[in-house]
Amino acid sequence: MRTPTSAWWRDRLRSPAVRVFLGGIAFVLVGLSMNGDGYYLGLYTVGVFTYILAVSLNLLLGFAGLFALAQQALFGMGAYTIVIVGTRVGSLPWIVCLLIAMAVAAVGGLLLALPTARLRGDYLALATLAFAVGFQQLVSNWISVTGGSSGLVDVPTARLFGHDIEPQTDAFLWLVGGAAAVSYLWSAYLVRSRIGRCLHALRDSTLATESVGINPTVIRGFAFAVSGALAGLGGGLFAAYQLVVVPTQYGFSLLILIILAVLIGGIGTDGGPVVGAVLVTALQRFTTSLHPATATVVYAAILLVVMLSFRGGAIGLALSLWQRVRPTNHAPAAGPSWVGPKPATADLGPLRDGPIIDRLAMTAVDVVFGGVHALTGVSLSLRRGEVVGLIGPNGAGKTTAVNAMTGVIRPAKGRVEVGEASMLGRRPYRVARMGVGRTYQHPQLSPGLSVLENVMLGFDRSARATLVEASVHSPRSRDDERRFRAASAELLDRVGAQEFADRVAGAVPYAVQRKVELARVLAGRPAFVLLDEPAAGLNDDERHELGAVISSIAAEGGPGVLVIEHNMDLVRQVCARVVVLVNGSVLLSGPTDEVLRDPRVVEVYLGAHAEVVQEQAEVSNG
Amino acid sequence: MSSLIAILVDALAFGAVYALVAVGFSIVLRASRVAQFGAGYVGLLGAVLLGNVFSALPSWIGLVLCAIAGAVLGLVFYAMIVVGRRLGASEVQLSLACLAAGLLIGAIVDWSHNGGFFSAGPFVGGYFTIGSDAVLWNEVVTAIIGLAVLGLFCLVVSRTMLGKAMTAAAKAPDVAAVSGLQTSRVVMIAWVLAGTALLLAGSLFGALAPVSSNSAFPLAIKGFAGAVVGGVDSPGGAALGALLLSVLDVLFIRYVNASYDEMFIFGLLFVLLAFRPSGLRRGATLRLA
Repeated sequence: MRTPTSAWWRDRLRSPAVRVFLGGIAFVLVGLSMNGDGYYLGLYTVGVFTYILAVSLNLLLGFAGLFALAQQALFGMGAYTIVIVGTRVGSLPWIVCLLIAMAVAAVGGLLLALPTARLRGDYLALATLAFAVGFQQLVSNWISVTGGSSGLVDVPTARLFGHDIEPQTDAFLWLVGGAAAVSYLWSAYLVRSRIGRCLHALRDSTLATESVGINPTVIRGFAFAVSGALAGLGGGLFAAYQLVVVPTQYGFSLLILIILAVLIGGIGTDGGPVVGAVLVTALQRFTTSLHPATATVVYAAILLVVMLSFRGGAIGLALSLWQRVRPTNHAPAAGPSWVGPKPATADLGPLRDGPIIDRLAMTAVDVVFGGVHALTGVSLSLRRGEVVGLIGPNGAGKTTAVNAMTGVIRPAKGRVEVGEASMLGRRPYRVARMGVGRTYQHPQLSPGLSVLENVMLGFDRSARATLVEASVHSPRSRDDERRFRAASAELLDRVGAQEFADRVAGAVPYAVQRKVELARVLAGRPAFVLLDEPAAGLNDDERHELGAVISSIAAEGGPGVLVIEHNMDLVRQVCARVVVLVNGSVLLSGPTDEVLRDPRVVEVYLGAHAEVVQEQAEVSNG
Repeated sequence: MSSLIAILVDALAFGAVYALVAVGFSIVLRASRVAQFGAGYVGLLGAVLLGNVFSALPSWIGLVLCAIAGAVLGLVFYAMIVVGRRLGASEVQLSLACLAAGLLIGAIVDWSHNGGFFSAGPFVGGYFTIGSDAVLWNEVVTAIIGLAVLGLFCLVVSRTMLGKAMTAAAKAPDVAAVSGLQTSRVVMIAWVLAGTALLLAGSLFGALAPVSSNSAFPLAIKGFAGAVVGGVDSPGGAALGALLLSVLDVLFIRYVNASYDEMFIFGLLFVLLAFRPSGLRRGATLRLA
């Protein structure tokens, strides 16, 4: 049993502001204890540079799950930019040059994000690797600007508040330490914001996250840009520290050091980069006495071992040892608790302006996989306020039809329209933003987020604060979070999953996951809801409850609902109209009772068991 | 017109090398979802072997021995992947482990020539002229050897039972396994074949021009880029992609700017990955999570 005070302390210790305060005190104490000794001061400063880079990579690698291998190039972009701008543009304050360096590296990061919308991990690694090698070749050959392989030596001195800050001094250490604090705070607040939530969800399932209207390119692009800005900040300072900028400083060996720092310390944790930077700097001190080729062998061997066997890193190891010493039986804590109290009402403005869209339709749609015609000439339509059933035997193309309507697959022929607007070739998040929400046959929640946070994802696009505001926890973004939290709790209440709100989504029963997924769809305030076998895995009572929820969704001019369902009781309970799909074509459509009584439907849909089921139906109908 | 032949010979000689890298990359990516990021260094080991260790032997025996060494090295990588998987490493981690292993091999390459340039050729000397262009006989011979080896690989992968087994194990490992296919064996053979392809690629690369351990990345990424152009899921497509890219590469070096040639290829790769990740061929319509 935990006392409230220990929980209070735990929360305080999780807050980035408290952590940076405590870390800052330790940092200054260690710095002062060096007594201005040049050697140790230098080592310490290099360690902080490693930390900044590790933080910037940890944001992508650890929190977003993006395997980017170009951090050294972004670092180099910062270094080259500050020198080129500082010497060529002239008379700009040093701090402005540093900000420009950050901006340029942020743009570099954005560029790297371009391929992430569709790429698997290994492709992204490849694309970023190509980017880094390209950067090397550019700075090595563009002699008129970058000085080629001999580099740039005319490096402007760091200057703040009218004072020059020379390298190898205490002042420079405090400057780099300040940059480290900025890097930590920005990345820590970012991962604790709605952006962090979206990154986490995208890592778990890009498609499901897109289905609630979140644009993966924008979210990941933002993370890449912040990561680039932080690397650029480090690079700009590094130039002022080294007083020379040459291509070899930003090569492959640096990347290996950064990756080691992130992975040895513990990926996706706040403390990981600290531990990693300390260990890697110690390693560097050891390897400087070695021949460079031998040093490479040492690094490569360590990287090999770390890659093959390290999962949690040093932090993970320490945590698992701690768990052994003091086993706790509470569920993994889900969700940051910094958001604050919950307001009485959830005031969420309208999502879209303009006329109410009344009709979702697919007309004469063909879908072809290789040589297989999954759908042939299928037409379906759905109006607001009605519940339509889509039934048919397994493999009839029901899910394919929903996929075609939501932009997951592109039909070979035919039209898909929301209102008057064509959805053909639109990505799933754009279809979702037009007001088409959907669930999946297997619930697609983010297993690592809490149930409440999963629903909050659905509200994401009604945020009023911009991404930049969210990443620094502006008042407006905190207000967004409070509203999302309250509204999500209300929705969970409505679908009957409120008692699971703080549980990790991956650990709640299947039936609850379905309800949560439905709540997440409703959070987007859709005009149409497409439910793929919502009752699968539910018992009779739960199914009946679900039926009531579905009916209530569509009531009083609410969204139109399309239900793919095998359970005829549920279909009878909620659907006014039914469409029967067989072998990729519409066999029949019409009022539920008529269709379900049609002998062709009984024959085709129920197959060999037709008679048995018909008997059962008669019995249950009295 | 006359320079067309010179360009073609150049493009085919280097293209065959990149295509072999692409085939090796594609085979293992398909079989175990691991990207062989160490491909460049592994290949360069072939150049070291052909240029130093087997230099006293006739070239063809040297190449055969390189192929055998590649098979052995492929086995070593396979063993590493098996161990890594047991320890719970993810596919991306394994890809980076390949890179680390490649760096270790790169250290051997460096050590053998003190970090400098070295050459594994030429197979033959002399040249002939067409118009104002000189064409090295060595490039012609290397192109012929390279294309022959490449053809052999594509034949094995696309026409034999082994190739079909590899496709089956790659596309549907569970189904392949319950159908009686020993998938682990097939994956092992994939690594062996890839090792052979990479070492042969590297030895031919070393026969075409002097190389150093810094050549590993250009060699590897040109191969990867080719594979992406042609579609990594099909070794034959990957090979074609690499050949096509090599033509563009040679044209760029000849007519635009030789010192930015890698940037051009990588820029192309980057743009392609951003906008057509499934390659230039008609991609699948299904977008996966």
